[in-house]
Amino acid sequence: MLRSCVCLLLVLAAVPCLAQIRPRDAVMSASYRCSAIGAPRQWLDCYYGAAQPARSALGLPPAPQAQVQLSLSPPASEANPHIAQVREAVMAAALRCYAGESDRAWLDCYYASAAPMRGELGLAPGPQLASVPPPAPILQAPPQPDRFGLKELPVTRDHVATHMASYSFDRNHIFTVTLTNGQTWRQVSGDTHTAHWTRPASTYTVKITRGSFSSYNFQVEGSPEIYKVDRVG
Amino acid sequence: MSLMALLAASAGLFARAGMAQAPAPFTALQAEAGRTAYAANCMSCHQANLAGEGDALPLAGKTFVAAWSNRTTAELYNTIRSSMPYGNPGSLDAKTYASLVAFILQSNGAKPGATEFTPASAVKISTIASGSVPPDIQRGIKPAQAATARPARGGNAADYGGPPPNADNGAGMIRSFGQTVVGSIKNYEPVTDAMLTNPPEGEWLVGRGNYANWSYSTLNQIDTANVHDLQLQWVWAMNEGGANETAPLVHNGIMFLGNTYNTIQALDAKTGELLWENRVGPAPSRPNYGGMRSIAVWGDKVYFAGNDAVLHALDAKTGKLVWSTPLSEVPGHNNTSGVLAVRGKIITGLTGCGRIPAKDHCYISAYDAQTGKQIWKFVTVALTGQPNGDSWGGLPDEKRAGAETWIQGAFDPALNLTYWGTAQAKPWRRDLRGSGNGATDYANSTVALDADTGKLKWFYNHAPGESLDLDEVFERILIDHGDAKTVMTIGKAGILWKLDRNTGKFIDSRETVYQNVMASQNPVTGEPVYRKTIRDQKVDQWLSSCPGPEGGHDWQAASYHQPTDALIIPLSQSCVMMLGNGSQTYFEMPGTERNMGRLSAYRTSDLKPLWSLQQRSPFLTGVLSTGGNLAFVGDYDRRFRAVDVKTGKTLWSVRLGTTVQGYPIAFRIDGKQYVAVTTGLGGGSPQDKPMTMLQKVHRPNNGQALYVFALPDGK
Amino acid sequence: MSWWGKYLVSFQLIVAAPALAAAAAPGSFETVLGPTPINHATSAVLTGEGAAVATLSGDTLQISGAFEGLSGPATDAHIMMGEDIGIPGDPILDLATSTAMNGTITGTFKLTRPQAAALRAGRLYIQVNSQKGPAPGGHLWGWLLPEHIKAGQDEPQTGDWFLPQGEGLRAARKGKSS
Repeated sequence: MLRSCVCLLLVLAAVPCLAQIRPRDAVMSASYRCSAIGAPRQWLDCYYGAAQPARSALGLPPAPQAQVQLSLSPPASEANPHIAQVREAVMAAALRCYAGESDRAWLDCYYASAAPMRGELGLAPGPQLASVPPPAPILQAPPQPDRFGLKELPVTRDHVATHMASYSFDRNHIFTVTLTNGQTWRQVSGDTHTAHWTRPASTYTVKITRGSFSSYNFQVEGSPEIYKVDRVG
Repeated sequence: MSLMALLAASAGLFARAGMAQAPAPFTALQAEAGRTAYAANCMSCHQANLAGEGDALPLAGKTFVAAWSNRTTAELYNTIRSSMPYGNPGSLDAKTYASLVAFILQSNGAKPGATEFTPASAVKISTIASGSVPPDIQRGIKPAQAATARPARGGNAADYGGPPPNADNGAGMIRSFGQTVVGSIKNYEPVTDAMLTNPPEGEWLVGRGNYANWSYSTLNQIDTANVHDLQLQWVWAMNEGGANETAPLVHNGIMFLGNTYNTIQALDAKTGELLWENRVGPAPSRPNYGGMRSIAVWGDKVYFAGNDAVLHALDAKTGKLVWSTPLSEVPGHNNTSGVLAVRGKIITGLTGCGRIPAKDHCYISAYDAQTGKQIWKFVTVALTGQPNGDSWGGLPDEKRAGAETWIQGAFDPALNLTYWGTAQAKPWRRDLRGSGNGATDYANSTVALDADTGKLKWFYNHAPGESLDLDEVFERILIDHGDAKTVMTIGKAGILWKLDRNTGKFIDSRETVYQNVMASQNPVTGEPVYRKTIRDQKVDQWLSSCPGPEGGHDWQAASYHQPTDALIIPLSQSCVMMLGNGSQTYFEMPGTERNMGRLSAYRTSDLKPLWSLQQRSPFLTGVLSTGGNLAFVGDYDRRFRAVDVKTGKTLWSVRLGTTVQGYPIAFRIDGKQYVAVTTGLGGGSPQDKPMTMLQKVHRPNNGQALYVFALPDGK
Repeated sequence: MSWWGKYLVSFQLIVAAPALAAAAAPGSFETVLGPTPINHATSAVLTGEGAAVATLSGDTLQISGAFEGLSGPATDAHIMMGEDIGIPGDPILDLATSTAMNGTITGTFKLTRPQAAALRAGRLYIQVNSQKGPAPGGHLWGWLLPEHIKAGQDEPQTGDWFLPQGEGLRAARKGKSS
């Protein structure tokens, strides 16, 4: 609430309002301004100096002052077409770093993107980006909470098949099982079968199916018993 | 002045004052009620001081009286009742309309009396109203208290702003804003400059397809042989209300879709599943208003400009707001052009900046795509002392209004120039504007700006001293013929222009519909000259204008079909009689056999006419042309069709839920080609003229949606 | 094809058959009648449509037309002359008209030289007045333009198609007559 009030005031004052200033955005903004510089070595220094906001956010030692200064106030100079192309290749690669999730991974990617200019200048290569095309995007509808077996909502899946992550028995030998998918199931009190598991949980493959009258059937692969269970988490 | 003349003038003044002193046929109570009704229903368009703007005519002052002095109060009542509120005429009760008439008359100096106004009262307006606007009206009345979905902007809201729409503003009832669905898209591929410069086949990354504004897709899976098998794949109902005039973008299998009410959605482009939605808001500031004609993707963000002239950046993976920047500090400024992403900058236009006094003027501006900080601004009005500043007839700067930019520009990466069209100077009529015969640069112009600095490289004024709401603001299309680099455009007057885009030099032009406004054209510069009666216009004179403000051409963009060098243009055909205050009556264009819609194709190398078809209903979408040699277009009468680009013959058509309006696009997912188009309502003349003139064409006043088509599997 | 389209074609077959053998004679003109200028208030009032053809032989102009669907009976009809195509003006000749909501318009006139020149320039138009649409605004009107091939509903034309001004400004710029 406070943040949105502050945001509103900034908007009214014609100042960009950032819901959250992202260091990588500040870095990219500064690195784009470096394009005023045509001289390749100076441009590279500017590019490195532009990384300062991300370094600062990660608690890393600051970039050299001269580099930072260049990024704050890049002097204009002509670039020959070849250098301009190399610059563009670096910036295109840097832009692709946005696919990365963590800030540290992003910064590593940013530095690695400078490889074409480093090569142009005969510098030792920095860390290389693997040139693997990005995997296809995973388009998810907003994650639906896993509600298989939980009472409140209509059931949409027929069964779960996975491994146990852990199991335990209470003093009445009623079992509670947590599966590797995070679901927790408890045997229904009064169920006629008794489980006698002794091996590590992960060695048991489990299948849970919908039974009649909103009940669930719990089976372990290799065993004939069918237990009645309820989902508890 | 001689004594006799002075006496005569004084007598005239006294007589007028005497006439205005005669009590008018309305009561003070009615006028008071009318003030409240005005604030609630009319102010958002006609302004707090009744001065109007654009299509919303002035309701007080000399312009109003010049138009209405010889007409009666009954005619005023009937006109308001039959045409207002815009988009929902006749929806208020009779008592409210009567009170509005009372308020308007009072705002023109009429004095209330003992008799209540009724629709039957037919008193000549000149006998009761002098056009003298009371000071409190001149200062602007206060907006009515109304529930707001978003806090009101600060500043001079009383001068420029207005209350949010009332319940009659379309069917849209969105009242809550914010992010409704948060996305979690993994492996989103950031959009790079290289991708925008050479868009990958199968994606639609820029509003008009590419930086050159071709609205063309190379995809050819759907072609002239199989298009008759095209099938609906999915439909997505969109927000109702506002003006639906948008182009989706498709990248990485994700469709980004702007809705009215300043809402952005991300959908799975194959299945239509919603991935995220952010109702950034606010609600449209007035009924049926606020197209979002383009959005942009760059890096990992989606960009759009809210109709309230605030630029927003959203995270493309989640839909969360990353930053917002106001385009202007002046309340009441708007944006309908949408945005263009160019090399780390977001470039956008501005509207709602046509009021006088002109605070800040209209401009094109650019922002850092990462942070939202403004990088440059180009004011589209030549001010005193600037180059071409002498083209406004000596008007002081604060009276130099207009030259809005309500269509996104084009970009030439090799020349690093961005090309935009500007609207006309305000008010429309030069006799009211006071600019004499001045060209009013850079209104009605193509402006070529350095994309890095916003500096003007050249401009070309297509309609010097424009006077009839015939702006030249629409898409600029970049086409090369060998080494010749050209920019083509077509404005409301229906003249197709071809310029050298390096220098702005005139190359050629051709009329595409009947026009009677321009009488001649300089053979070297191409500068057109209005016919004499337009040059000599008087405020109380009705002038014929063919085309009228529907055009000719309007925002519905043409498509350049590159393989055949054909420019395929959606055109409208209607004329108006226009009075000095902007009042219009509409009539069908001569020689069109009552057809308001035309689709024409021209070869751009020599402007040779290729083919043309006419139909009763105008076309309300841009044209999409494809590598399958098809051109897709939709019309007012709900039809979406595909024609053969070589002959114009219709090969497939389908009837949708309501008027087909927007910008159709094509994309490919998993090897399958899709074509998508929106249905929509809202907007100005392109909807208003057919609504009024097509007496037998009916379409529902709701049903804004996105439709997606493809061939059945195996075809 | 709308009813008036068939009317235009059949009229030409009956009356102007010799002209069909050659290209359309320069003396053949036609118009479609639509509402005079309307706004939101009058659009529901000024209903109806019509068509007319006109043949100029020498200085004799023969007009024949029809209208239907008026909201009130027609009262009179005239040939009007304005400044240019699409620019209204004043009546110059009276036509005979049915005083009904559907009817015909006819007239035969000897035109003066200026009137004939105005006809060829597209400045003449037909206006039908009615009880619901009285003069000067009128009810239906349409400009008399040279007979031309029509790009009809959904029928594309290839090559040059008819525009009332011909090549207009472009022709003038290039020093050609339209």
